[in-house]
Amino acid sequence: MATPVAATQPRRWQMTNSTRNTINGLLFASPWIFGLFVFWIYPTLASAYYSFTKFNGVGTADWIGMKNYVELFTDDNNFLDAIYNTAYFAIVSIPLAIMTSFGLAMMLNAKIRGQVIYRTIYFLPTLVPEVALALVWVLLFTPRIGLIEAPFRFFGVRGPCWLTCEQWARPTLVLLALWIIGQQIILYLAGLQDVPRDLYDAADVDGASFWHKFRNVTVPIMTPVIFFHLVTSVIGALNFFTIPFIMTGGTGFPANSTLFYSIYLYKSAFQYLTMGYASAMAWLLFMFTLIVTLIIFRSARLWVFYAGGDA
Amino acid sequence: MELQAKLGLSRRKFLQLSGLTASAALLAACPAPAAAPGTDSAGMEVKKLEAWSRMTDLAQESIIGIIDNYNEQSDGVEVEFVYIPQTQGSQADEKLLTAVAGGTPPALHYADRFTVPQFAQQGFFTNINDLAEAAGVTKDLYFDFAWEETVYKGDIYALSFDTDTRALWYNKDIMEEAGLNPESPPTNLDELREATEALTIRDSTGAVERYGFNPLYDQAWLYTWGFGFGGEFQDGDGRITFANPKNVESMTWLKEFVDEIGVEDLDVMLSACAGGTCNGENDYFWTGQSAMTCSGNWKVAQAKRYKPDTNYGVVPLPGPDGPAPHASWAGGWSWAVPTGYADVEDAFDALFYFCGPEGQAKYNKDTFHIPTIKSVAEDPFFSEDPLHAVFMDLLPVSHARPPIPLGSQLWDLQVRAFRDEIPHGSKSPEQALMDIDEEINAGLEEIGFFS
Repeated sequence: MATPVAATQPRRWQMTNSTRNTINGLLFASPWIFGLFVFWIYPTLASAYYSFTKFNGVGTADWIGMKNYVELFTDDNNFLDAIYNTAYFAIVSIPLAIMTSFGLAMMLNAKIRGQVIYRTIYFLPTLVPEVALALVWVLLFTPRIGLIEAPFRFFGVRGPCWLTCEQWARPTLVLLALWIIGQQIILYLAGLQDVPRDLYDAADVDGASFWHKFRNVTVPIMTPVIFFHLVTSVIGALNFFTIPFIMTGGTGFPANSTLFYSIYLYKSAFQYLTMGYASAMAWLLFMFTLIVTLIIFRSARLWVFYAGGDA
Repeated sequence: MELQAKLGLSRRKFLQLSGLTASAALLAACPAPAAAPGTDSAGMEVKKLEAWSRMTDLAQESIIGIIDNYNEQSDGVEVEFVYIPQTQGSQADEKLLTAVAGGTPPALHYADRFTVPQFAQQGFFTNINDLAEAAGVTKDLYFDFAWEETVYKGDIYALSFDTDTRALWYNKDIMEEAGLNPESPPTNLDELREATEALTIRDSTGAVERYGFNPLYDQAWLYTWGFGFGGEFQDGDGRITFANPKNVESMTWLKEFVDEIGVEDLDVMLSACAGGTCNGENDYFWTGQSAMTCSGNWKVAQAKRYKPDTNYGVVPLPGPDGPAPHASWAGGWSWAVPTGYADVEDAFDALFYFCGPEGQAKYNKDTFHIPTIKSVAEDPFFSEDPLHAVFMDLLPVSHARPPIPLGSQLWDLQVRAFRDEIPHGSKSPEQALMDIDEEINAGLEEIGFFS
């Protein structure tokens, strides 16, 4: 029963519990939100703005409209080379990475002695810092004196020119990228453990061969893992930077064949001091990655099978 | 309500506790306040100045020595050497860019002199014209080329620190071993080719085990060969002229030479050294993997330190008709005050000491470079060492690279043409050089360099 006192006082606005909860929640998250804005959202938006300007990083940003974007596509050979190199790398290395990691995971799943040791060995390469990796592999892949030449020397022939010639430079980088798939192998291994044993048993009862079982039981159940690997490798391949930059000093030697998109972006921004131009490149890459990722997500409906959810 | 009863903690108490913890954590995570000026023994406040440089090894030791000397004789100012990583090739500096953009530039920055016009035009260096004039700095004190590279549109943006020249180094011991006379090194280009052939060792598969000479390596740049043939790279109006007929001739000759040795073999050496693994004592010339090399006077100090027991010789680089001392060009470094640094006067004071007679004498003697102050360069020390004497003699006839505001871009284009397009034959020498001119001159036009 309302008291007479409360009835005569003006009604003050009272917060509901849920509003209070929301506000408290936001307050707790505020340091993180603040960081997100300052270090991620603001730079991203600033970069979008700079992509329409001529800006060297410290001076004034002069608005020039779409000029940067137009110049990229019409007047810049380096840009086209960069796109080609990055596309080549993505298209060649991603399917190979998927097949290799999946294959190795299948092998590492076999119940053999020393399984743990083998799994460790295949994971070790991911622990090597990228820069150290790049420097050591430059030496390994040096024609004639690198360790990679050992099998060729044994037969007395000259090995391929690896990183020193145009035809072999990109494949060599693909090869190198295949060496550090340890983390993806772990992913596939985890996925393989989730394949229900009774499906295999049922297949065995029906007289299925190894290949039948693989194609009709393992792969469909593993499609979520493959999907995840695909999306993350696309993003990674489009951003490929550290290893080719260290290996060639950013020069794209030989013949611009190792000039990747992000390397050219970096050079435009920090060496040629054309921030606006580099920002335009950055946003193009962002948009492209976004579109490709969306396409993959959309296509997932057709080929990704979630065992736990709706078939 | 239940939770409150369970924990005996009211919501208010909980919020207060977590607020306290969060603030404590935040405070603890904050860095210690930027080093408050320390005090020296007299109890005065000491200002700390940072001097950024990408030099390592001998050069770094020497610069630190100069800084120590300066600190001793200065009151209230202490300079500190800070090593910053090197950018391959174009000598631009990402760390400086971000520091200036962020408003926290160092007091002093070590800049490759040919990039000074570029940094000046872009607004990265402070105009020190007035301070320099007040301190008595004039054009006559310095060598012309060194002066011109530090001045942009009439104002001084840096002071030169050292310079260098280029010549042909050869390993006398290897030459003797191969049956050549170590006292008569190649004097013209034909002899250079013959000597290279004689000194190259190949293994059973035809790959090069020891290089006679790599015409694309170290200081053998497009500039070097172009100057050697009598070419010019900039005309009177400031336009870039890489496609000068003599330059084209030099590159045509170079392509022949490269084909003789085999471009794949030369690529192997370039690629192996691309990651900076052949610096210092790992240079192919010191390891004996290369019998001859075109390099600079700083190798004199390196020879003394790394290979005191091997016999080396130096002669001017051979030219088409005989020795070509004019093939040499002078490079070198400088110190500048980046834009945005507040205490410009203190910074300039240190800069003036480094790039003045005392600093230059110490650095150039320690590292066997050449001072840019004429009076200091006359010191007999620099001609005492027979190897370094050759370099000193080249100084009066050495050229300089075109000082333009698109220095980094020009350098990259030059590297691409020289080490990639021309040797691999993807462009004819003339086409490659014309493309450079077109791109750079268009760029210079755009920023109003010619007006």
